[in-house]
Amino acid sequence: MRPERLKAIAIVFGLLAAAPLFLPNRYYVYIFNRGFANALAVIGLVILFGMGGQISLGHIAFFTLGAYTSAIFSVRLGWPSAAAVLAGVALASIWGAFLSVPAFKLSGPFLSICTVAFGEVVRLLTINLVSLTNGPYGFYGIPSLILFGRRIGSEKAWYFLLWSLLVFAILAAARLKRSYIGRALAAIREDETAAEVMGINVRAMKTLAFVCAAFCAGLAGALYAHMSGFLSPESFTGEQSFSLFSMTVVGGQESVLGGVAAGVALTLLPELMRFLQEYYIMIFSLIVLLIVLLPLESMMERAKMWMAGLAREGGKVPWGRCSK
Amino acid sequence: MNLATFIQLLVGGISIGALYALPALGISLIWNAAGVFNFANGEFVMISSYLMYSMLVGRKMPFLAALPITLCIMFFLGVATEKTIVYTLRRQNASPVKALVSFIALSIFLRNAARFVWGTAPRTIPNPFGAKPIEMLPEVFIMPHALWILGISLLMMAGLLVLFRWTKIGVAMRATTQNRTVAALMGVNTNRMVSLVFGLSSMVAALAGALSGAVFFITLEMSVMFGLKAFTSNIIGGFGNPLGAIVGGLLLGVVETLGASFVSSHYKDVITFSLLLFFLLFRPKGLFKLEIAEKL
Amino acid sequence: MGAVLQVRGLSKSFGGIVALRDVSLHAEEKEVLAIIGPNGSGKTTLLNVITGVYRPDAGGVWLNGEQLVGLTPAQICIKGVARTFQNIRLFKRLTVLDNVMIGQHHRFGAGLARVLLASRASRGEEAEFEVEARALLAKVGLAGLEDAAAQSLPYAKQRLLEIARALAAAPKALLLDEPAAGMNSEEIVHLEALVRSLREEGLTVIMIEHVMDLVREVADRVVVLNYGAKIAEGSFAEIEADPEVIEAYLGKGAGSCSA
Repeated sequence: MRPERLKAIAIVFGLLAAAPLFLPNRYYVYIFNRGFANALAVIGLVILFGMGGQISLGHIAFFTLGAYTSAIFSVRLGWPSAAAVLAGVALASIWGAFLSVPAFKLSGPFLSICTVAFGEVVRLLTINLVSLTNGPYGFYGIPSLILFGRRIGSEKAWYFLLWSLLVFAILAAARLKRSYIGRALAAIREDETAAEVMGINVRAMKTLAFVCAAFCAGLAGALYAHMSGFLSPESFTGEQSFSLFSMTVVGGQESVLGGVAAGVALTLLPELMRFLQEYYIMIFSLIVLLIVLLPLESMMERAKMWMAGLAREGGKVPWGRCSK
Repeated sequence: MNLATFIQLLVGGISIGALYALPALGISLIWNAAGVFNFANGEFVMISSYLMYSMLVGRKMPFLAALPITLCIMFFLGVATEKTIVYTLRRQNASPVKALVSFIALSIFLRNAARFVWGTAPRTIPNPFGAKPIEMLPEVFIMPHALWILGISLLMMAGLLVLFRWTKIGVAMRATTQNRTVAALMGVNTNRMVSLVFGLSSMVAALAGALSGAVFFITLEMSVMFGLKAFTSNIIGGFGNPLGAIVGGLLLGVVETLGASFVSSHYKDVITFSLLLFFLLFRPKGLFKLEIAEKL
Repeated sequence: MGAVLQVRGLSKSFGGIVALRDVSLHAEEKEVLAIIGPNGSGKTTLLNVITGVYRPDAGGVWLNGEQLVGLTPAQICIKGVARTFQNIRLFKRLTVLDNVMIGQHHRFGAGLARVLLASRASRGEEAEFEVEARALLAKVGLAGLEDAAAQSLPYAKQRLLEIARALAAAPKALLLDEPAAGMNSEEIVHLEALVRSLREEGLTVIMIEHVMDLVREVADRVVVLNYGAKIAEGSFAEIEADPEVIEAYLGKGAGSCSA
């Protein structure tokens, strides 16, 4: 990575670290926290979909599993909240491994429908297992997180916790992408048969990608449960799965930083612009459609050439002459 | 359960199955013509239901006037989808994943656009076929809408069959779906043919939507239900096999209706899910599909 | 007999079509074995069976005495059989260097935890393999193109990259499926030198090829397939004179023509 780019990223992260000191009130900090939780889940999707090419359209299910498991363990079983969070993450990851089994055989629309079905089943379970989840009325009274003897109660405390977890996750995902594992995932995305013939254990890699994705979403969900103190099945619908998916696409699929930026920005946007709240999914879908259909790459290329042409000749360059 | 009840359930199941078979056929046609899975098929069904509602209830139009208008509108919506999304994807030589993502986005967009226009409250339209059961055989009472749905659907399917088998334009469409390059070399306007297939596929889906108002509530969720069931029908019949899709749809309707009456109507959708998962995991090529080896 | 790769009694049919009929052959250490035959004679099917993409109906494949039939393609690659593809199957959007390093995949051993923590072992391994991958690219003649996208390379260079990717798996036997297809005569000369140098390094090379100049120059032995069965085996000179081979290529009655 070029040093000036590194510097720019460092500045952005430094500013973000100090942001709660400037934000006008607790509500804004809270939305940032939600954005960070979503970004964490998006990192998982960047690994699964961006790097590995496997579509998960029921991804909120892992978030739900993490959240409800952690809530149930801490409230119904009286576990310490940190242990309950770990249980939530573990359960989500196990289900991630299960969901990778259909991916051994299926791809494209077939796999994506399978993940939709998984998401629906989890949603129906949260509504119908009333004795565990309190069903449509929602799960109340989840205790706040206690970490190393410290209670994470205020929005600011959550902000710093989530922000530092996010930085860790970004580093880990970036390392994964540049490692032999990341390359193997890319190989599977590009050509599964060739990957297999080149000695890559495709099944193991798919399972790994699904577990990573489920882990991230499960962790985000488990933390969200203790952060908000209340869970409702209504906040974990298929549309939420789609919105996580759109964040991944908007961020450029393969880019970890892009995914995080899109995750935070697309969570803040509908919260800040009240009038968007009804229609934000509609707007997201339109944005995704445009990103997929517009020839963005070649547009960027042309823009770059044009800029280069300007710099070189110091004057007007007609469009036609930019492409050599 | 006696024989009369069984026959009643069977006829009811087949007519529900016809409603699944129509959009399933649409998915199959598009899969063959453009190599993409129309994730938004269920939304096409839903939108045509709402269009019927607007015309029948909002404008008090007669059923026979509203039906052709809906089919026409949906035909052009299908063509428009092809001209914008599918054509762009084809020109970019886009990967299948990209195509899938754009159709997923389209389906979410259409569902939310429908919410914007018609709201979230369930709607009903008056049953245009009358609500008085007919005694077909002694003791066997059949709802008239079951027969009408079945009849109109079969008519549509037969019409398509004639179109594809015996007309010049139908042969041109089939040629395009089998080998686009060769078809183009033989002088077929392949771009127009793909548009036409999209229009037709959207029109058959629309017929299901228009007729289903007689049986189901019109809701936003019906798009997901129809999408899932049309997909399952295709999986059962073998993806890309139009006749298989029709048989799969009819089969699904019967199994669902019988299952619901034997077990419990709560488990109607569970039956679909189980069938879907069973076929996806254990028999992804469906009942009627030949295996084609990948060329290395 | 020092056969590295041994194929015995291999048969495979698709539906009613027999693609391979009781084919036996072997390739020794430091040997280049060419497999030739008209189109549709089962050459590529043979390669697909050896590398585990298809399962044979009968017969077996042994690498240094170890049975390969029943293993997955990945396991066979790890045992030491790497291949290239007739219709190039590179990871098109990835860089040239990444393509080669994907070939090295099974030789990495860091594991997920070390990768995520960027441990010294993981970073050292990565750097070591990168040096090796660059050396491999230089060897096949692609130095300086490491960061280009694989799909941006001209056709002949893509074929060389496929060879580099296969070599990166550190195979004992290298299977090349029509490596010279689409190459001009200059590029074929380069390929000849490359195959020779691989043989000198002790590799066993099995090569399907239509370009007879290349076969004549580098093949130690030639096996001829026709309609899925082996019809001849021997040196290039012997094969060239074999009437059955001439008939297979040119049809009946062609024996009187000068081949």
